[in-house]
Amino acid sequence: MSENSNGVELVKTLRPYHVWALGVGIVLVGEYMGWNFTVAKGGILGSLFALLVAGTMYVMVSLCASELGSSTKLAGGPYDWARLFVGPGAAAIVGLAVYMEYIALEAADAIVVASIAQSIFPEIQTFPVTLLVIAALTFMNYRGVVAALNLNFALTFTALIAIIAFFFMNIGGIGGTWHPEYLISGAIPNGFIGVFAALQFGPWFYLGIEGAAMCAEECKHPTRAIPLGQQAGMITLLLGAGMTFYVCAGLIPTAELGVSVYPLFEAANQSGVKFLVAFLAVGTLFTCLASANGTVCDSSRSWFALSRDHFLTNWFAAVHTKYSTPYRAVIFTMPIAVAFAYSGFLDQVITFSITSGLVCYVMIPFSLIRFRKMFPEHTQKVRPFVGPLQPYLAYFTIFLAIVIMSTLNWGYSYNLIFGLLFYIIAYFYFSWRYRSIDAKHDWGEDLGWPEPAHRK
Amino acid sequence: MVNETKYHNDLKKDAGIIVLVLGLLFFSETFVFYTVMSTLWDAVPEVRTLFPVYLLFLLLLLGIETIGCIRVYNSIKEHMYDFKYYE
Repeated sequence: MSENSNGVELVKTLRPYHVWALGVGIVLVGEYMGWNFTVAKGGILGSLFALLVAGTMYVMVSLCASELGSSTKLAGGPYDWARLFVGPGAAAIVGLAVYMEYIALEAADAIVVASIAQSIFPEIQTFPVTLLVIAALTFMNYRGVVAALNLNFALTFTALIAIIAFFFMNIGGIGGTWHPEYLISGAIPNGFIGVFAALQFGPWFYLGIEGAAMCAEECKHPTRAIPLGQQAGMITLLLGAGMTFYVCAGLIPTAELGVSVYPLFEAANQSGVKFLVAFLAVGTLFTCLASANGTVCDSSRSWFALSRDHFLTNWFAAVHTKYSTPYRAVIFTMPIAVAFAYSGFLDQVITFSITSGLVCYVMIPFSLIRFRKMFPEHTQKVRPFVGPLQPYLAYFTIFLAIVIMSTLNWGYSYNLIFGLLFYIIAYFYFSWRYRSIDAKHDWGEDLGWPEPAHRK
Repeated sequence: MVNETKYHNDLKKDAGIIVLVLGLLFFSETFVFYTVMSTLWDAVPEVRTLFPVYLLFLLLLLGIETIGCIRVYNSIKEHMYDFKYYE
């Protein structure tokens, strides 16, 4: 592992609830908006199919991330796992994919926050508000990871409680009238193909949960915090996804649900309960802010890790002497997020984020397969958390990720081709660049591990 | 010197939170699944064809998550004294 450019280390203060806040904070926005595009593609049955299949894939991705994150304890997350266990070209594309996935998500969140602000105050312009949101969250992350993630915890927890309260009030008969006829009329509008095509937006329920493991280097006890925070986060998202799907499917007619910008808020409006309308409005705003906040944290760590290993200029690998944050990498998220936000095409930005995420979901389990082959013994030093049913779950995850990626062909074929081309070019560029770097890697010195099995 | 009582109590708290949210997950997912399937069963004939696939993924999702949580519990229990998790 390379040195930080100014020799200062990241501070180790985070606990499991911070890991939860980072992971769920990034993703919960997907329950408030975006997931409902599955309904437009495949109706209620398509959406339920996407929820279950993508959910299964993410449960397995999060188990892979728990094992890899608690073992390596490095800030780069998927990038570092690919660097250690696959190779430099693969590492660079994963680092870049994570960066792009989160930056695009940050831009999308900021656009939505600005749109919400404009719906409340019609006289304001969206783009300046978008800039303001991005700048404020960048500053928050510049000042320190603990403050940023404490804020995320408060925002995310409030948004989650809003969903749970809505669900239980609805099934208890005091949260609006649930209409079975909405489900029947919009069950399967585009046939079996539609059900399958709905998978392309399935990741939106859970996109980015693997990022929870990216704060491993800043955790007090990463071997406990990462698996516990990651699994708690995954359960929370599955809960949120099922509850959101249920209330929205029964309160909003399917044709409207498929194109709604804020489906949960709209469902609360349909319920006619003022308390729920206010609670879900606050939840929508909070979840966008939490997501944008978490994505600044994760994308900067990925950029920091790429820089620390000289894939990029080492200048970005500096750690702030007072706040112990990778401050140059944090600040650099701002111009890229602004560039994405300036484009203004929310669905295109989201699709690029999903494509980048799916590249990671192929590479994360592949890194785990390689890790298990290189270090087959489950020693406390190398693998403190041993995930279940591996490597079979890793193979199944790769299969599901490729299947979901293939469904982008319906409606977003150019995005898919452009995204994959971008990563193929990046692979060859970084492989070429890596040859010119004097990279030394010693398992004992860098991680305190023995030599891998194939070198013994 | 490690305070074993504190460690066991803190481990129970960790496990308690996970059991609580996992219980909530089992309830909500099966409730949602049952409600949607029973609503559509007679009205939409395609449901009968798709049902086994849906059931398979529901069982996979809940089963793998539960096994994962048990593994996390065992891992924390195994290493809590070595890594001083609850100091």
